Amino acid sequence: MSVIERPLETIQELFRKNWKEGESTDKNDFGVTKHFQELFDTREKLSKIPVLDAQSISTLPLNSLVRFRCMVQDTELSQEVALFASTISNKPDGEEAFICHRYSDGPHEDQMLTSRQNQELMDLRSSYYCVSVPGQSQWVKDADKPTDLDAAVDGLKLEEKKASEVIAERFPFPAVSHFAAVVKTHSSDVSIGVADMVEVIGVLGASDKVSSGDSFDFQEESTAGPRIPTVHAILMNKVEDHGHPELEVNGRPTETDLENLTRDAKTIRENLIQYIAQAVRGDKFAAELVLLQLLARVYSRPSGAVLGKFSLNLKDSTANSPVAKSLENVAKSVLPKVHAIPMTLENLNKNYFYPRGEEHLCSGMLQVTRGTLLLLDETAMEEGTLVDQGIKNLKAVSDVSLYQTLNYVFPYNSLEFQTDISLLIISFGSSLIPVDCGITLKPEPASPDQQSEPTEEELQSFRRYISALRLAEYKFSEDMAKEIETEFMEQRKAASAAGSTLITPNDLALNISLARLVALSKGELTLTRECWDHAVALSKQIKERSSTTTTE
Amino acid sequence: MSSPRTPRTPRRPIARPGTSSSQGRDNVSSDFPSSPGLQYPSSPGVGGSGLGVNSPLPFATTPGFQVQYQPGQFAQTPIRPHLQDSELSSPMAMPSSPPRSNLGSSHLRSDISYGTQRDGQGLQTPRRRRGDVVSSPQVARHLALMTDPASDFALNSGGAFPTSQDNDPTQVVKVVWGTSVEINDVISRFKDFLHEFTQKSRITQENPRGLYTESEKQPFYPQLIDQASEISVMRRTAARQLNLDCQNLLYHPYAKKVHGMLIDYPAEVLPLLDFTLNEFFADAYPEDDLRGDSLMIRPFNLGKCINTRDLGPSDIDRLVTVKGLMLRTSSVIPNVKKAFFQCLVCEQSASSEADRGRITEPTKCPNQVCGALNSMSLIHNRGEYADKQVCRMQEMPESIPDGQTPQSISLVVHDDLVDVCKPGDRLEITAVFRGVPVRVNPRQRTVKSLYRTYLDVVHIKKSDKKRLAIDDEISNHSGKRATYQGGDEIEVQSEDIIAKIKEISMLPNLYETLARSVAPSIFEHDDIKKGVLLQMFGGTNKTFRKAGSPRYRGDINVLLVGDPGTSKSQILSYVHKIAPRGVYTSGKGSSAVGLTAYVTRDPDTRQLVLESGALVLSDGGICCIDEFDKMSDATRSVLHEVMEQQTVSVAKAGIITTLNARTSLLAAANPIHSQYNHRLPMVDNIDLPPTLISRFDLLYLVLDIVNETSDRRLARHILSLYLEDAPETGGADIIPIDTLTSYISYARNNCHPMLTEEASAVLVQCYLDLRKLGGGKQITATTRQLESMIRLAEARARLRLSPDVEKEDVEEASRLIREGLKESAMDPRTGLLDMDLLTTGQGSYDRGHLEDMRRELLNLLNASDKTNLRWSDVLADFNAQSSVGVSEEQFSRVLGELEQQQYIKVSGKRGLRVIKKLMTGQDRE
Repeated sequence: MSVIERPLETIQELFRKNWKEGESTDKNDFGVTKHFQELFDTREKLSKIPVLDAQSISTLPLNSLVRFRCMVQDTELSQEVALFASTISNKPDGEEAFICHRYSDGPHEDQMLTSRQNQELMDLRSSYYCVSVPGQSQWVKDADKPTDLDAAVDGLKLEEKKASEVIAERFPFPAVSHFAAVVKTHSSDVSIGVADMVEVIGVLGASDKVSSGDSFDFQEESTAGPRIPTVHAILMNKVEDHGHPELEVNGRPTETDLENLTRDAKTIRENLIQYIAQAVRGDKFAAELVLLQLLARVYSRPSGAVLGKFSLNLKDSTANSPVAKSLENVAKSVLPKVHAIPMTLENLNKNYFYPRGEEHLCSGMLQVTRGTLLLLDETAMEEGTLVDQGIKNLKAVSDVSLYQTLNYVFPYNSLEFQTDISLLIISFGSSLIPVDCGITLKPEPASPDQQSEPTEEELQSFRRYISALRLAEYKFSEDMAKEIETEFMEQRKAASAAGSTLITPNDLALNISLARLVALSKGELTLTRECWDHAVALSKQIKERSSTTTTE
Repeated sequence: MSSPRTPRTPRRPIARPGTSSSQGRDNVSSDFPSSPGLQYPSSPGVGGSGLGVNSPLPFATTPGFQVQYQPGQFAQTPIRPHLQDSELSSPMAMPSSPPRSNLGSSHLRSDISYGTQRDGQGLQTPRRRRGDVVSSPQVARHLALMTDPASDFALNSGGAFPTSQDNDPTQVVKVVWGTSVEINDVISRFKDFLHEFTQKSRITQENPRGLYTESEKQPFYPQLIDQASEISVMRRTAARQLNLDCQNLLYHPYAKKVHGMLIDYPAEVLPLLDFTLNEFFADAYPEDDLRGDSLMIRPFNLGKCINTRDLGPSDIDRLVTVKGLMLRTSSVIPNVKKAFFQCLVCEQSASSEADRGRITEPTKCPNQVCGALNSMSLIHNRGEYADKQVCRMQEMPESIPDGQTPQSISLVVHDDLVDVCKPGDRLEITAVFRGVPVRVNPRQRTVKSLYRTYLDVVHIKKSDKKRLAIDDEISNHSGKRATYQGGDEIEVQSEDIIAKIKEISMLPNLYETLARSVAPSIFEHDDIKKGVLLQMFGGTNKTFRKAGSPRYRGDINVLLVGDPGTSKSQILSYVHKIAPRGVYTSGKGSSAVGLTAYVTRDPDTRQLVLESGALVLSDGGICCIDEFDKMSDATRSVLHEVMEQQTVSVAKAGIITTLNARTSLLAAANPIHSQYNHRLPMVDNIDLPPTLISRFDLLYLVLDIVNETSDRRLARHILSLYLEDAPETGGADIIPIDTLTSYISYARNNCHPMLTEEASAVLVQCYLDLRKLGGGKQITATTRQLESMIRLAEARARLRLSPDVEKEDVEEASRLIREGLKESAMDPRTGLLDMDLLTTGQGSYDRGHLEDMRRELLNLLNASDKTNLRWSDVLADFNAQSSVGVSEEQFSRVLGELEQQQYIKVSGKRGLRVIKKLMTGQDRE
């Protein structure tokens, strides 16, 4: 399609057709957004647009249409006022034309501006600094890759090498290679925020230095710094947090998908628990909790409370526990976004977990998209001093665990952002971070027939199962609520009469969250008595398992 | 209060008929489109407006203009090129004002000479010129003519113009080309405004009231200027500026129009206002010599604050008011306005004006006798410089949309405004929004299609609105107000907010509604919410000069003690969110250093600096301390001082000082044994010295109690969250957090209630009642409780925005205290209130029992045949034997007594303490 190779021509045509100077036509819409939306209204059509990444950047021609899935790292590079349209004369023949400069880097070198620029013909645009999705698993990346041979041959063509550098401290994980681009957009839509995952369809622009906005000389371009590719966004869609490449961007599983899943849920659940259990040394109970965690997400925040979060701590008291490593492998094979963070003192003291604004907004390890699983390996921690930085980092992790919020630290103030990060902490004893649920692993020697790697097909079903059920709608009935209410009251009365420890409101809250996850894991979208009892049983077991460590 | 704004004439260049010869010039200047006065080169006004211009502007720069000169004249006076240059100059490249010609015809330049005709020598003395707004050349030229029609320039060109009209410029309607600004019209309107405007006229329109002070009835600006001139006489270096509240313009019927024009065309209108002011000043104080300086208008409060996010291309070159938080400032940049050169050979001097930030160095000595090449050297200290500073301002944290990172914008501050604000200040800035094209290469003229934007600041106002405003009392106490607070402010809070506040204060069940609005997500605990609410309002600070006591604190301290998981921390963090200067720390994490003040070495200057800790930072606010009991002893000792004297003494690294810490304390503590033991009194349940506990006005126990109905409601509350219903949080009629914040802020600043006679009587009665509670034997209340009661009653009156403390306020205060005492000072063994429990940690019941306990303990010791007993064993045995619980503290107190009487000897530390019997009791007796 020529529109993919030369989108600017299409835009210019639309401009000529729909936009008249002097008329109060809205600059923001001369039909471009609509046109492209119609052009690429299905996933299939969208997939024709080449993906922009570290490899393809060198082969993609300038001013061609690209597709870029990324995380918005910073929404506020300095704001720019740019030419919207102007009359230019082409150098060789002096031919004059009225050209729209939106979605491009501006006039070419051989075009001369002739008209005086006036304010009506200027544009305000904001630039987002975007990086590749942090912690994206290999299988997701593979799914986005063009498979046909043509693309592979294309990749061999030699073209002028476009610079694609990155600003290292703007990516959450230090020493992880990634790709970055500046996305320029004219939309005043502020629903896309920091740490959102977006899919951008836009025109590939030149690689340039990012203006930090700090230069005290306004007329000169900043001369230092890496050159970052630009994408002039035509469409910018928020990708829901599942990150599964085959599901709809909006993330809601389709009816048929759900039907299939609810039917097969129980068997998939068994197999998946089996698979996870291998990683947690055969402990099926722990494996079930891990599975529940994979399905957890923050789904509501009514008046200050956070519902749905479920941070989990697995305690393994053996030396050199292999659990962290094997869990990472399992998680990477079934989840779209995973990252393991070794909680060594060095890592805590030297690196940043929270983003902070200095010259520009530097990232921190916790600045990841919603629905990312972070595996914190505390078994790697050694004795030593935690400096100030380390304490702040730990505080940031605790905040995520307790409130699912992350503070971005700016000079003189800090801003709280809401997160949805699953924290799975592997530790020797109790974790330093307060968690919703912590249990001690009870290794069970696995029978040899269970030690089998799942087939690719099985893995596929696991991935769909997790991504779809995680976002499924779940409800519970008023009747069930009444039952729970009475049960809670009776229990407290009984406990107070017996002089044993009271069931606290927090316990009740945990039970309700567990019940939701149990029901979802079984593919049920409403709470049944059976699931509730299962959840209460789990909760009781969690209590036992967590108290065993305290007495030890 | 939206300001009526005249629709803005589009600033679009209009094709001039028959000026093809100017095409070339236009091409050059089009590279710099946005600096003032450049985009709109003056031309004979005919094409520019249809406002009945019957004469071209007298000295307009048009191609046709030069024809008026004799060729020879033109060669001598480098008018033409300079004019063009000044037009090209972009304000950034040449933030100093445009060059003055060295021929003395400074009137030609765009800097305005405000001198009057009498002020003949003013031409030689350096004048202050605006650095922020470089006036458009035509305005400047026109003004120059008005002040000094007999100048050489006017004479030079006189022949070329129909002098009959132009020598009397007031009779001609002159419109600045491309705008709707009529020069004489603006001047006359503003002059009338200066003469006539009274504060009364504004107040009558905003909120009429019956009485006006004499000064409010008098014209306002003469008064203000009178003040300003006095100051300028007193201090020779005084800033010569007038803060102009633009809202005032709107309340003057004739000057209303100026308001809109000022916003749309600051480059044209501001110089006109400056000019008018100077004339006005010269008329009023003919004898006052400004010594070559001129007065400057600094407009502020345009009526609408624009968010930095919303500044767009249409705002370029307009006056805007923006709020923000200063991030960093550059050092002061001396900006050369005029460089001075001297010939190394013959010492002939020459000077060169800055032209777009560049100085052209003369290559040849101007002395014709000498004429040496490349002999001119720069003499630094004879040049003229102006201050400039580049700052970075971030948008207000509260205006950032969800999920977005804060945006920041560059500011350029000039002259007097340099260093007015420091990083961290919250500001309200009035400035001209500028856009300059980005050059591809510093050495090339070619520009990109990209513009970088910044603000040229004309007025800075410091503001801090998000948090409750700091008590006026305190901010005044700490010394002078910032100079740029805005010279003529009438009211900070806008009218509608005040109206809303008044409306809220009329609510029938105001107290309950407000209490419910505190931390709505927390279930029940109504009394605690009430206590915390009153704490935020605070009592009035009093100074009794006669009593010799410097200051009575009005701050209310609250302590929450309770089982874990009872949402104490949530209350704390809520208060922190809305309290003025709220600081939140955790007792566990904060060392003595963090809470008080510490001395560090500044990384840049290597100097020792005193950094204030949480308590000092929350001076005038509320300091929230979580896990109060986990605090180290050293820190606690500091708190003793803070809570009574309200100061922090620092003696560190050679710095000895006392810092103010007039802060309310809201603390939360956990019981010693994680669960609260009901059999023991409060003091034995928390690990805090009784002396410290007694300093809290209100003490609350937050306990987890089994109760069928409340349990059911609690379960329902939790479930309702999950059912995604609206959770029951005490009704829908709660007041949103920001309204509550401004309500409290308003009350704190505007309401200082006094006790009425009746209330005092009730107060006395309540106090007596409280003391009677102990049944005569125990002390149930001390004067501390009386003081607390006064403070709480005042806070309650403040909450009602009432000037008087009334009976009901006192009753509520006494109820709160009684409730608090019931929980904290009740001796569970006797069921009576006993203040001694709080003040000394030992109730009268204890004292009676001590003797019994001593005897029992002695018996116990004697019963054993070992001479050395483990401390903990004895305690366990003793407790097993006793019917009431004996705390460790009581136990050691009894032991101490025995030790004094030389029955026993206690040795060892903490857990390993050993009791050694010295002689058996029977032996002694």
